[in-house]
Amino acid sequence: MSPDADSRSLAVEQPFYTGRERVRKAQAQAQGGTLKKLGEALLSEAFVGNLLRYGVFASVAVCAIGAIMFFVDYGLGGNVQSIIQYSANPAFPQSIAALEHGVAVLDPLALSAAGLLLLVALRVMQVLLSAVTFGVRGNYKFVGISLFVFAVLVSSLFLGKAGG
Amino acid sequence: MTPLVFFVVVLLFSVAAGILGAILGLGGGVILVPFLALVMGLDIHYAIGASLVSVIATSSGAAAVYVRSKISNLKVGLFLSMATTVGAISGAYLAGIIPDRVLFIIFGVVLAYSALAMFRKRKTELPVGVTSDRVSKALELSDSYHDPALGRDVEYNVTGALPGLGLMYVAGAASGLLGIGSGILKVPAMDLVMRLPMKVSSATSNFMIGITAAASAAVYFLRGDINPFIAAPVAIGVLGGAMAGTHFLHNFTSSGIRTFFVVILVLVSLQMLLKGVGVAFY
Repeated sequence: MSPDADSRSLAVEQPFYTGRERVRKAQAQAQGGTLKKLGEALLSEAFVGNLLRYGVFASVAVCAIGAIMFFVDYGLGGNVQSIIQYSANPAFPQSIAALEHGVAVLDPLALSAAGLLLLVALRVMQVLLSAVTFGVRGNYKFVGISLFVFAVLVSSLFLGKAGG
Repeated sequence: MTPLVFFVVVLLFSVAAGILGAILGLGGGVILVPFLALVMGLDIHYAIGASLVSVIATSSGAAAVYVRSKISNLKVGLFLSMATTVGAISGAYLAGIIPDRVLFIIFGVVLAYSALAMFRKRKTELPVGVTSDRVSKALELSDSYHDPALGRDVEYNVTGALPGLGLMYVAGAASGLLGIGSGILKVPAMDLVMRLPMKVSSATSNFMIGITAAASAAVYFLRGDINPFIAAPVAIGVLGGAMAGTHFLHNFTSSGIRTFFVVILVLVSLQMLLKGVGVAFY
């Protein structure tokens, strides 16, 4: 074990070496702050893990419902190329606003597309949530880092069209 | 091929890709794009768009497990995501401009590199004597995880934070350009440059892959290149496969599968290169 690792294991006793995050955690434990504990639990790794897991299931379920509806509505016949053409047509919802309409009229493929977009949105939410997590823990450097990543992700949703 | 047969074929192949991806720590994109573009004969931009979705689904499935087991280092992941997301958007834009043939050739080259990287024996022993660099110290990137194979907690330090950030921009650009998770580029960067333990590199890479892919997926979506009839079966299949595959991972020696996969990668790489220079077998 390196000397550095040794000093790290004494983290709580040596606030000089440790950052705000661990100090606050230790303080919260010492004071038994219920609200803080609740916050920690809500924003813990387990919660983020669950959000990812169930959120992904939900969005893929929306995708699957759209696919099933498609086969129910249009039968098993038809031509693969023309189906692909249909959703590649500029008239098919390719913006968030147009997608809302497609989902409202229950266009099966628009519903699938919404499920796919939900999958993307989930990862954006995950990053925003981590900003909150770090904020609760008093780690403002990582609040900044998380918000930077969040801003990049959000801007990609608006920049998209220019690449076409 | 009727629409239903098309749907089922894509779905089944995606299940297989999801299982392989989770076992080998890849997003599965390296085999999905060639499958959709070469075997199913789809436009390569649709193949890339569908693959990006699969990458997000795989990464979310795997990340959920890794985040809970605390092997992945969330701070390192978020820090490096600053570079991968910006890189991903650059790559996604580039894919809209450059000719298809060039895309096939770049893909072939990256596949060949991936095969080489997998072929070389990956070192599994833990890094020793690593001292945190200035940035890693300021951001407190050092952490520990419980290694069930060793039966103890492993503490580790992080170094080379800024060079790592630079390499992640390149990995992100490859992801946006080719629709792959580019874990094959991320893991060596964390492993060799930032000196993270192998398991931490793989798990953190899986955590980041989805965030990287989300940045480029938005660009593809707004361009109409994420076609729901192709991407839906891919997403459903890959998620199912990945959830199954992740459970095999922890104490699993994958050398046999790895060798098999290297052979596949070499063959697919050749096919993509030939397609790029205009030779087709069928």
